[in-house]
Amino acid sequence: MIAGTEKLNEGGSLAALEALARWQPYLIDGYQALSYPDAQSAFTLGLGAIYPTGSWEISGFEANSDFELGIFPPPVPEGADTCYISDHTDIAIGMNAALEGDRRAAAETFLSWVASAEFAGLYANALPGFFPLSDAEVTLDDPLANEFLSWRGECESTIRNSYQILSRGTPNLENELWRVSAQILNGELTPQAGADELQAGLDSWYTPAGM
Amino acid sequence: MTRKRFPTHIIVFLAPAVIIYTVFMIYPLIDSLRLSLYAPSAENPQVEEFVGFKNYETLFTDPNYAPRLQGAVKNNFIFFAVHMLVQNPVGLLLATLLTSQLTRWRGVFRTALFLPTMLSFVLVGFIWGNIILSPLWGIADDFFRTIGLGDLIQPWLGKPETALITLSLVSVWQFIGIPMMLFSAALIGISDELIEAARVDGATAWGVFWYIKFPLILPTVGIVTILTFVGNFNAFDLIYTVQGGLAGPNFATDILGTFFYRTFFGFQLQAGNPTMGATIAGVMFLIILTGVLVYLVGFQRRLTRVEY
Amino acid sequence: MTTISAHTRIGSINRTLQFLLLHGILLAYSVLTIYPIVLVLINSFKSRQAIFRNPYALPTPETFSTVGYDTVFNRAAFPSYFVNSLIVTVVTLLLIFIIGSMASFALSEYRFRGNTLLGLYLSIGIMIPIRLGTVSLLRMLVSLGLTNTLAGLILVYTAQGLPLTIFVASQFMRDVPRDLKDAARVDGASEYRIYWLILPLVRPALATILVFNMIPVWNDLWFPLIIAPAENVKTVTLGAQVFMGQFVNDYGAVLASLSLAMIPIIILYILFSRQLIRGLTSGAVKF
Repeated sequence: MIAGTEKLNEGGSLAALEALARWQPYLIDGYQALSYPDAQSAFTLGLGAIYPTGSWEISGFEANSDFELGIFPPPVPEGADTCYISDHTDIAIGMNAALEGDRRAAAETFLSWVASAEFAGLYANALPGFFPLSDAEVTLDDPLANEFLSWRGECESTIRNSYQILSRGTPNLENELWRVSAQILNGELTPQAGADELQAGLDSWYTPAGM
Repeated sequence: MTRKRFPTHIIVFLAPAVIIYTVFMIYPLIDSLRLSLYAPSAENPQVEEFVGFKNYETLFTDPNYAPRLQGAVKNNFIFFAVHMLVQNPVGLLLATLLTSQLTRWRGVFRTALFLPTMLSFVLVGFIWGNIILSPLWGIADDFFRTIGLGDLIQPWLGKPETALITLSLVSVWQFIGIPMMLFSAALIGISDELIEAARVDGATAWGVFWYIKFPLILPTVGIVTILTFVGNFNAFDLIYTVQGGLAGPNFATDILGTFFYRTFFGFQLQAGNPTMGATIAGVMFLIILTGVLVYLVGFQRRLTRVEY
Repeated sequence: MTTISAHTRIGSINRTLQFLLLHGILLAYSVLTIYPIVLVLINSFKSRQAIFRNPYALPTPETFSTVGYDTVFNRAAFPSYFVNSLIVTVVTLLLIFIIGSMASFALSEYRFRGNTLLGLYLSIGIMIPIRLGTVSLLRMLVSLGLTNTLAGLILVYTAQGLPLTIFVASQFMRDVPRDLKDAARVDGASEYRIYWLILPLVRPALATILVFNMIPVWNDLWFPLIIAPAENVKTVTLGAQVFMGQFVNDYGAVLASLSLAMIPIIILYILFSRQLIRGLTSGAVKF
C-alpha cells in the first residue's frame, strides 16, 4: 500500500471490512452506543462469548472475569491455510544523540539495561500480553501470553495498515478507519462504499513511493 | 497651564487588572486572529509565513475541511436550538414555580435544581454517557419500559440521527440552573402589589404571567439568550468527554469547539495544525461577535427605547 | 352569601390543586437532577459485579466495597490532583477578588479621561470567550515557561474571570452612598483606605461573582488538557477524565473519584448560596 501496489478498496483490505460487516448480527444489544470500557465490561460480565482483541487485554480480562478465558487466532478464509498475526510495536525508548558526559553514560547504562535479558523477563511478566522486542530467551508465566506468543511460530506476520506513514496526512487514515468501521457496523455504509471512502481519502494526500 | 498629573492611586487600582487581562486575554485573541493568516512554509515547516486569507479559503472549500466546517456549524445551531427551545423555557417555568408565593422549601428546591450546573463536564458526561444511557447499565431502557415506551429504546448516543439531540439534552440538564437563577432573580424583583392588583382585577395565573411578568423580565430573556448563544458556540467539553475528539458517530456530534480542538491539537494519530486551528477560532470569533452585536444593537437598544 | 362561600370553596380547592401541581413539578424535576448523582454515590460503594447486577440497589453488607476509594487514594495521584485544583481555584478567586474589586473601585469612583472607554475595553471579555485565543495563548505560555505550571492556569483563569467581575462589581460600587466616602475623606482617610471600607458593603455582589467564577474554574477541562496536562499539575477534572480514559474500566475507582470531585464545589456553593441569591436579586446581573 505504501508503494501504491495495493488499495484499501480491493483485495485483502476490502475483504477485512466485509468480514467486519458480517459481525453485526452477533454484536450485543445497543452496541452502537457501547464505549470501549463498556465493551470490556460486557465481556468480563459474561454478556458475550467472543471478544475480538489483542494480547494487551490479558491482564484486564484475567483480573475482572470470573470464568476461564481461552484464545484463538484470527480464523483463515475458506480454502486458505496460512494464518496471519500482527505485532504492534507500541513503545520505543531512545536517547538524545546530543547527550554528553555523565548524562550520556547514565542514559546508555539505562538503555543497555532495557535491552538486557533481565529487563525483557521482568517486562513480559509484569505486563502479560506485552512482549519485549528482544533477542533474549524469555520464560513467560502467563499461559495465555504464552499461547499468543506461540502463534509467532505458526502464523505469518501482517501489517497494521494505518500506523506511521499512511496516517501522516489529512484525512488521517487511523481516524478514518475508526469512523468508517463504525459506519459499516452501524449499517450506514456498505463495506465497498466504506473502503472507497478510505481510499479516496488516502489518494487525496498520499503519493505512493516510487510514483 | 500645567496639565494635572494622572493620580497615582487610580493607576495602582487599575494596572493589575488591565495588565493581566490584556496579556492573557486580549493579546492572545488578537494574535490568534493574526496566526489565522499564516501557514507553515512549504520549504521549511518550522517557519510560518503570511498567506493572507488562504487558510479561510481552505476551510471553506477544501474537501477535507469544508464538509467538517459545514457540519460543525449546522450541528452547533441545532445544539443552540435545543437549548433555546428546551433549556430556557423550562428554566423559566421552574423559576416561575420557584418564585410563586405558594412555594415552600424554596432553598431546597433551588439547590436541587442548581446542582447539575455545579458538576464538572467529566461527571455529567460519565453519568449520562457511561451510566444512564449506556446499554450495559440499561437505566434509561428500564425507565422507558416502566412508563410503557419500551419500543422507543435505542442506542441514542451511537446513532447519527439521535446522538446530537441526546447530547444537547444532557447539556440542557447540566445548565438549566443558569436561566433558572437569572429568571428567578428577575421575577423576585417584580413588585407584589402589581401582581395583587392584577389578581384583584380578575387576571388568571397565566394572564398574570403573560401580560405582567413576562414583559418585565424581557431584558433577562435577552441576557439568557445571548449567554446561551455564546456558551453554545464555545462548547466543547461535554462532547469531548462523551464522544471523544472525533465527535462520533460519523461526526454527528461535531460542533465548532470539537472541530477547533481536533484541528489545532490533533487527535490519536492526527497531527495538530495550529494555524488552521486559529482559522477555525477566527470563524467562531466572527459567529460569536455577530451574535453579540445583533443582541446589543437590535435587542438591547429596542428595550431601552421601550423603557423610556 | 352562598355564592360567595361557594366561590371561596372553589378558590381554596383551586389553590390546593395549584399547590400540589406546583410542588409536584418541582419535586419531579428535582428527582431528575438528584437521582443520577445519587446513582453515582451509591454505586461508588459497591463491588464491580454488584454495580452491574443491580445499579439501583443500595450497598448491602455483601456488596459494600470501598475498593474504588482505595484505588483512588493509594494507587492514583488523586490527592495531588485535588490539591492542585484547590490551589488553582482558591488563588484564582483571591486574585479575581482583589484585582477585580480594585479596578471596579477605580472605574466607579473616579472621573478620569478614558473611564468609559476602559470600562468598555474591560467588558469585551464578557462576551468573547478566552478559548478562542488558545492557539496563541499556548505559544505565549510556552515562551514564558508557564506551561505545565499552576501559575499558568491561574493567570489564564484570572484573565477570564476579570471582565464580568469588574462589570458587576463596579455597578454595585456606584450604588454605595457618596456621603460615606466623603465623610471618610474628611477624616483624612487615604483612597486605599476608602476602597477597603467599601469592600464589605458590596459583599453580596462579590459572592455572586465568586460563585460564577468558581464553577467554571474548578470544572474546566479545556485549559488543563491543553496547557497543563503534566502529572504533577493535573487538576481533579482532568485527572478523572484521564482516569476514565478509554482503556480503563475500573468503574469503582472512576465512580469514587467523581464522587470526591463533587464535594468541594458543593460545600463552596452552600457556603456562598445565601449571598448568591442576595446578589442576584439585588441586580448583580443587570446588563
